[in-house]
Amino acid sequence: MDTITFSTDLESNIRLMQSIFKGDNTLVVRRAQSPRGLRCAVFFFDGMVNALAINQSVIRPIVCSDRKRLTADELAQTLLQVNDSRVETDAGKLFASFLYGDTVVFTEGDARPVVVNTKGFSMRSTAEPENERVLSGPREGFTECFMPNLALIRRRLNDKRLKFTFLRIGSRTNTVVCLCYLDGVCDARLVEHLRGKLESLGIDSVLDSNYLAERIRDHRLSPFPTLGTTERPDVVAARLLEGRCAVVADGSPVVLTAPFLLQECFQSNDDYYISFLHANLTRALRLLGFLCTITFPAVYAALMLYHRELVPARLLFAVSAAQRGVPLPIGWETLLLLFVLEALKEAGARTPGAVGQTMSIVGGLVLGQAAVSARFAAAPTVIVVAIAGVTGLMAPKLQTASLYLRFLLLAAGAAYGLYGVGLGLALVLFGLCRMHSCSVPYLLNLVPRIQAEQEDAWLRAPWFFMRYDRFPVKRDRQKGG
Amino acid sequence: MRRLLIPLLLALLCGCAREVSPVSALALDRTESGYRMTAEVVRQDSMDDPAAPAYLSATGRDLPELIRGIENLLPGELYLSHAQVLLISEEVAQDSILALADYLCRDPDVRLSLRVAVVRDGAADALMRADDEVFALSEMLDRAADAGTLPDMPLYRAAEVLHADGTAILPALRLDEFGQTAPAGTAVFANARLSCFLDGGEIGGRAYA
Repeated sequence: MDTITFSTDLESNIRLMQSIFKGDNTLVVRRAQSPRGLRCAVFFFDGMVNALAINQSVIRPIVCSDRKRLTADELAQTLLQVNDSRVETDAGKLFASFLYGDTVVFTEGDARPVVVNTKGFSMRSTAEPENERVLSGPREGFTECFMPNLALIRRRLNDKRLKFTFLRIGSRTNTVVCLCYLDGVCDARLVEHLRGKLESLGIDSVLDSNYLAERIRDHRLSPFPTLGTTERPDVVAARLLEGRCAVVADGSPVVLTAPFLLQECFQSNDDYYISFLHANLTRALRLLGFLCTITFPAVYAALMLYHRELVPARLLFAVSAAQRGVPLPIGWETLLLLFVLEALKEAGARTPGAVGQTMSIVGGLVLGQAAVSARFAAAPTVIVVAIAGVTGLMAPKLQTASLYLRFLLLAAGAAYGLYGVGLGLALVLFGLCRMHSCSVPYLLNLVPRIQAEQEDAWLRAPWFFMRYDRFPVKRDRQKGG
Repeated sequence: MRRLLIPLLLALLCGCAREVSPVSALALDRTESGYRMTAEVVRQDSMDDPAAPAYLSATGRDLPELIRGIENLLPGELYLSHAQVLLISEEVAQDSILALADYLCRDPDVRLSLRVAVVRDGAADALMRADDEVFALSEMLDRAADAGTLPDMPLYRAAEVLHADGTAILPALRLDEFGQTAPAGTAVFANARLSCFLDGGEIGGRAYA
């Protein structure tokens, strides 16, 4: 495309454009001529432009013009009544803009096209994201439209240091990706690190931000997230204030933030909009829920297989009674029930709306009851798996980690008892200690110390005690800083 | 990844299904040729049923033989970790109980908090069978130890003092005229053998020892 050369003859330019987009029926070519003889050709894609803007700001000035001939510069500067128009000589940039909803105008006698900003595609409302609902606080969410997403961020951060740097990624999709950061708050090395990673991606398509996330994140095989994701502009604004960097991809409502620390997995949007007393309680519950979901089935299997002496006598009698007649060992029984739980969750998630919810509830109740009645599973095992399932939903950002660790620790517990579970947890902790996100240690601030950086780590300090300039991801906290 | 998955799944097989028969109390009596051990095994067939005791007895010359004998009568594994009480008859107590205490202390399954009591004027298994509720004996001994009416002497403490100078006190129980288990003072051991019994008034504050 870079070698395309336009001519001064309007008709040959029209033929050239039609030949380039041959077979694309959404291409619209509008010839416009004024009574005095000014001839122009207007090109745009149907459905991607604001028709009113083209009619009133492009076509009407041309057909009403009293000039006989105009250069591209005169057309852009004096005739077209739009907020953004330019003469474009670079064919690559021209087609990138054209394909993205801009209108191209050729005038007779000038080979240079004028690009007019007339983007106008439909977008959904900035409704609250389903996955990140809050009890109180802002209800806006990102959409699939790029510029409105950036506007949502800027509206919250009226700071001249807020920077939006554009990159184009994907040889076929040519997707606009924006790097957002607060200059002076965010470490310049972090920005360069992310920019370098994004620019070095040799990929042909970016249809969602996850296309980028899996490629640019650290520890790509780890089930623990090392890149934050959110659909809420208030969350992005808060993270930018903390010295993080955000990546917005066109066409995706999910914004990536980096670095991402483990402590963020236990933080909720609500934490900052409700009383710190309540927020800290729920945050502690989420941490407890995560520990519970990964260890509960494993500890249950380990106790009932190897360490019955640790189980209170009456509980042991009850569990042993329930276990009588069940054909599988506890390890296998728990594994199969966990598998059924995941299958129900997946089926519920993939089935639309109310049907999915009904199926999950009915499936869970009916299957659980039937399995116990048929002596396929013991009631205590069903309870343990159900608790693991419910507590697994308390820290949604750790669902993948919970899923993997639950199964692995169960295998360790069923094979080696509590020693296996302990060893498994130690290995997980060891792995977490080695992890980092954009050169920031993954467990930063989680080591118990009384320091200012811990104001929002395990627990959230009250707002009157917190200061943004003390937030965790500062350059002196980074590795090598 | 596949190579890692197979051993992990196979590892789950290591914990095979073992049915256990938890023992809540043991009674040891003297016979002409040796000893008779009676185990109160807890049976609960479903979660809706209450836990009920079942009694199994075996004879033998020493403790390992007695335990093996009872294990042979059970469908599952004899599980001593939840045993709370060991009752020994007067005849058994008149021999040295040091070997018995040592054996129980070294058994990895037996809890060191096991309470040992001496049965006065009768067979130990008869007293154990008098209660049809699981853990009733141990709860009674706990309450009596808390109240100071019987010595608070779990296995580890008894073994310790017997090893020190062979002198110890253990709670004593008997069946009363109504056929119910009742505290019967304190059994005093000298040189690891039963020396005498002290009734409630005689022990004074020594029950707290």
